[in-house]
Amino acid sequence: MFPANRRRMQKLAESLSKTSKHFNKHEIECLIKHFHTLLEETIEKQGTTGIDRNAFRNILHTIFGMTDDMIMDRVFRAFDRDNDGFVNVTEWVAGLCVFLRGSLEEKMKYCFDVYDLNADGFISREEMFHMLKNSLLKQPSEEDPDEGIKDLVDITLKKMDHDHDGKLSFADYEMSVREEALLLEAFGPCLPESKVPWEIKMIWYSHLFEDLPYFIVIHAIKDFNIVNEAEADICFGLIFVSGTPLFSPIQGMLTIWSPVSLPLQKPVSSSWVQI
Amino acid sequence: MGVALTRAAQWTTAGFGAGTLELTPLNESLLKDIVKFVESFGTKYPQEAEFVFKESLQWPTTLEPSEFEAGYVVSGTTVKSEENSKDGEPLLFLSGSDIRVSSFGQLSRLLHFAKDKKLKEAQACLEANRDPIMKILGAAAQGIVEKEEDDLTAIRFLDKMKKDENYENNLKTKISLLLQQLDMNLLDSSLKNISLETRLSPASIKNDVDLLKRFSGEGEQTVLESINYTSDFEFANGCRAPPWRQMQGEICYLTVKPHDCDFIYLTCSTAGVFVNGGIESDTEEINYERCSEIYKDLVSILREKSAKFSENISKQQHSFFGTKKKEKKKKRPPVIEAEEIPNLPQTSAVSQKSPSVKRRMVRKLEPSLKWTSSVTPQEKQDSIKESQEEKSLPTTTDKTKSIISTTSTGRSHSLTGKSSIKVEDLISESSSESEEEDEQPDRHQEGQTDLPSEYWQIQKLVKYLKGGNQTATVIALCSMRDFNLSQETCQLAIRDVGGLEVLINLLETDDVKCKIGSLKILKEISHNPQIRRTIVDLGGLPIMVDILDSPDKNLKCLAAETIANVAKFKRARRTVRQHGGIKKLVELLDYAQSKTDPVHHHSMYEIKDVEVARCGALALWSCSKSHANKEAIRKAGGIPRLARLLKSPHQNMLIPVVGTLQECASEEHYRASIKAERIIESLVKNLSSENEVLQEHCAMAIYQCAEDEETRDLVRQHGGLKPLASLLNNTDNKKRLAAVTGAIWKCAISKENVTKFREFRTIETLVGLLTDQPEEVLVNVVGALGECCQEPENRAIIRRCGGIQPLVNLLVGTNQALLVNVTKAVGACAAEPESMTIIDRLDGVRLLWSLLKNPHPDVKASAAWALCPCIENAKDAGEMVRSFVGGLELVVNLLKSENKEVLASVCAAITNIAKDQENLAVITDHGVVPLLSKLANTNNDKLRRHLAEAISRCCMWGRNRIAFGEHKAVAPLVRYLKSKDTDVHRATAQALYQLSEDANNCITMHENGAVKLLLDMVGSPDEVLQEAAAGCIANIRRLALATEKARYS
Repeated sequence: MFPANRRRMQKLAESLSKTSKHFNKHEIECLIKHFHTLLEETIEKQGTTGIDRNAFRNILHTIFGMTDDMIMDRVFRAFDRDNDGFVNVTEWVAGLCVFLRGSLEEKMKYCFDVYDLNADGFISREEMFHMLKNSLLKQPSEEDPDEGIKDLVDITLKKMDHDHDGKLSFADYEMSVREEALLLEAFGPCLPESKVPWEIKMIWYSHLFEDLPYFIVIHAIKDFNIVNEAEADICFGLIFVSGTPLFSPIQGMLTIWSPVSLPLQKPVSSSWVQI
Repeated sequence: MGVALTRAAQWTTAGFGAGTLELTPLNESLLKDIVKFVESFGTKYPQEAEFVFKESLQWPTTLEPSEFEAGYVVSGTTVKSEENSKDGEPLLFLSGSDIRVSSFGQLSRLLHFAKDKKLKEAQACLEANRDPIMKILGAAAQGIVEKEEDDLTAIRFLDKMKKDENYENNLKTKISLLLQQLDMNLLDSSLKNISLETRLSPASIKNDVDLLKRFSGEGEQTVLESINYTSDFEFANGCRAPPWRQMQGEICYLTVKPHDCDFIYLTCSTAGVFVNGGIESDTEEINYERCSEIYKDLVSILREKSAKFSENISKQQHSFFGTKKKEKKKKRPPVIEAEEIPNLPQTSAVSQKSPSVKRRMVRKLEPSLKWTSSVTPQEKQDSIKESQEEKSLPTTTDKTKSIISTTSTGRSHSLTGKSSIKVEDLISESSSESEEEDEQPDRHQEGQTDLPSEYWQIQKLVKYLKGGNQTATVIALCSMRDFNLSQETCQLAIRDVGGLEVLINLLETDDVKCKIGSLKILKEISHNPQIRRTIVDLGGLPIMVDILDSPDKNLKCLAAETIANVAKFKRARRTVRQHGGIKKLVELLDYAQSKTDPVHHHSMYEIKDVEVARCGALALWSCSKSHANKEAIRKAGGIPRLARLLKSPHQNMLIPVVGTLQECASEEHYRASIKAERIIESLVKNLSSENEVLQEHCAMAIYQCAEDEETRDLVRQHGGLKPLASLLNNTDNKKRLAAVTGAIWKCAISKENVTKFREFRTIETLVGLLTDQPEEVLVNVVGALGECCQEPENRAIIRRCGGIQPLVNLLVGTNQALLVNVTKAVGACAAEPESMTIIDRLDGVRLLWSLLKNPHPDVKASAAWALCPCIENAKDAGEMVRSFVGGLELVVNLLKSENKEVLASVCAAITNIAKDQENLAVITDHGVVPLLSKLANTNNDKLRRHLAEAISRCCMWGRNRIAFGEHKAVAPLVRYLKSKDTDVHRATAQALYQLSEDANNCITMHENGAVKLLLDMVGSPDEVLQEAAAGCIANIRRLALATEKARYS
């Protein structure tokens, strides 16, 4: 990277880190770098400043394992705040901030935006129908497959429509989610937590360390028996805090730096140490 | 004898080699017959009696060498008969407890000596010699005897007898004939016995129930409103009772609703049918306790219980009677029965049917299947085949089945048998496959009339659960949670529409959200006992146990909580253990550990961790109610973890932890570990917590643990007595009060603790609790007072605060545990003359005395112990005792008890009673001497001591000394001197001293080597013993001198 670029990036990171709640400056730097990598990989035309809809869907699919086209479209819309058809670097960092580290409030806001297809501030009966229409297996015996979906929409409204106006306002939605956290993604998975295996996220995380091949990170984490995201977060949090990667290659051997500070006790097995 | 023994006698199932005869009336009568035969053998057949057995019969005997009389050489522990066989071997040889006998003469003499131990000896002999004939006559003769069963060979046998001119062979055959005669008699009499008690079989019960079911329903004419099994599951052997109950011969359990009374819960066992304790509402397990007599079958018990039933059933009498008779004859091969069946319909209601129907029925043999309930499965199949062959008939099985399901009331009407269509329904129904399949749609139909709207809504949701993707499933799950899941209709609706299967199925998916949603519902509905059982039946527990491994803490929590709810009954707890759940649950306890880490980041996780550990403890608490699980928890290292959690600051965590500990503390191992892990300290600390439930469980745990002395000391050292004492002041929470008083009771077993309690004025408070408290509190309060009373100072306190009156009032109760404690406390108080006057005034002695009639041996013994100080300290005790009409006779008769503790206590009471000459005279008249003498052969030191005391007291009257000698009480007493217990020595020496006043007794003592033993006793530091021993020796010596003098002068 050119020094000029580097300066620019640092400046950007600096400004973003002021607004970002969940990432520190170093993390944001990594994210920006990663954004540029993604951009180079996916965009043929040089000079664009953002990821377009197709590329973004591709990213969602490969990294986060999302499958529902409509939901992925909506996620793109949620990321693309200025509606220019591209996710630029600021939007990317802000989106990921919610995506990966968001508080319940932020996630609710994000999910509601995803589900509110026409962005009128309400999830209407029709929107629900649209989102749920593939949710029931087709049963040959059923006379009208739509009947079941309509029924399901009614059930959902009964459950979530607290003011009984036949549509969900954000207040309705928020109240329901606070009652029952499972309803956060009521109309389809739009957050990475639910489906994406942590290994895939690790692949993605590993882009944050340009010095380190990602498979080492994965092995490291596997051998530390980090099994869920919370622990992984702690792990990465510590890495970022210390500012130095835990692992550094010395003549083909890897040394572990101070795992003592980690809440993880499992020793590193020899299977990957000898690389 | 051989045949009767092998065929009729009921051996225990312990296996062939070590089998023992069961104590059944049948066996007893068999034994009696054998004994009678052998006893009279010597006189009836003197020649044969001398015949020497091929192989001697050998068995462990309880006879003492001293019991053999003339004709035997007794030397130490061995006895030889003077009669010898040809080879010079003694015909009877006893050494130690092993006896060998080889002729009938000796056998009958032996039985003569054995007196009341006859039956026991005969039983021991037969148990040790499973094939006596073989031994008596040798293998060859055995063959003859067995062949003899065949009538045709009788002649051949006689021929053989003629040919065998040998004298001995002649004898042999004669004996074998005699034995065979006995055998025949035995078989005859046992056959009579057996035919009297028909044993029920699963098949016969099933048939009875099936039959009654068809006659049940709503409406006036039916015999019952309903009759159902408690369990739908039928084992391969036809039983529905759980395997461990099948061991007891139980077959199945029924809930019966007659027209005119409440639900009756019945147990059907092979021995008959009886009323059980019903289904317990909280544990949903059946209370297996028998609550009624045993009736020979279902019909007779129902007749007894419900007048309406017997009225309506008599309308069906003719048909039913046929059934019953048939059943009794069941030993016949089924083929015969099938042939007989066509004769039956004329007696049944079928005779009213149109001719065509009737003809068809007879051809199909089905009406009889219907009316006789004794159809074997084989026949059933045959008849099904037959009916299939006759497919040309208008009513095929399937079709009628559909008729049945559409006419739900048809069943109840069918009893009247008025319309022929209905009867057809019944007929073809009887050939349908199985009871359960019939039942299921039935239940639903019944419900349909008044199904709540929730039912349909839940059904719809379950449909979406089944057919929806993850999103739809989550919506359906969340929506389902909006129903009132604590309501039984909803719980059962979920089960009935197959929701449980789906919910459990969801647990096996990868989707965390679905799992969470499903567990949230399961957690709620598993409060229902029926749902719990279904979850276990559907194999839900192993899946939940697997989920415990999940990385998601939410899931772990929910799974553990659900397990905690489900594992409320035995089978579930076992399933959890068998799938390694205990270990995983114990590991969950580790979660709350890492709070030492100061990083702020962790606090959020820590809350979750505490929750995980709490849920784990909750599940362990449920599981810890099974013995094997307690062991498993210990092995998995649960105790140190529980101990650590006990120091946790989280209150809601402490309750399940202490609850688990309290459950487990019933095990010896645990109490040791609890001590070692310093858990008592934490328990004591938590006694002072704010939470009443926690206090209760802590007190309960202390109650369990304080059986152990060291633990009691620990409670004191950690200052636990004060909080316990202060908790007594709050009496509103009865459960806690019961636990606290229990802990105080157990702690009060240690003297130092009692001193402390006195300081805290606990005794006064306890006395205040003697009135208006539930029994479980009273038991503990009285127990505590009983322990405190062991010290004179405390007795005075109790008397001063008026504790004696309420204590005496409690003597009229019925609770066994309470009575044991009350008698103990009253007895302790009576040790003080002042208190005794109060007890006497309140008529407490009479109440104690009447408790001697209590059926429970513990109560009897405790009452008798309590009487001792009463008699000792009462003024005018002799007069008082005499004033109880029949009281002395009652006491003397208690000497016939089997219970050692009762015997010891009664002996002690007799010792006190006998202090009064007049009373001594009365009890002598009631035959106290022979009864005491009979007890002399005991090894129990406690009984020995009190018995010796009683004997020494009773010697003071009339010719009792001589009578004891005549009843052979002296020799066993001498042996008491070899005991290790010095109290026994003292009492025995005194008794011997008293007995030695009689010359004959002196001789017996001398013969049994008393002098040497007594000489050792003279050297004892115990003065009483010294004196008594010396006195006894003096008496013996004096007699010896006198004889010598007489000889020489």
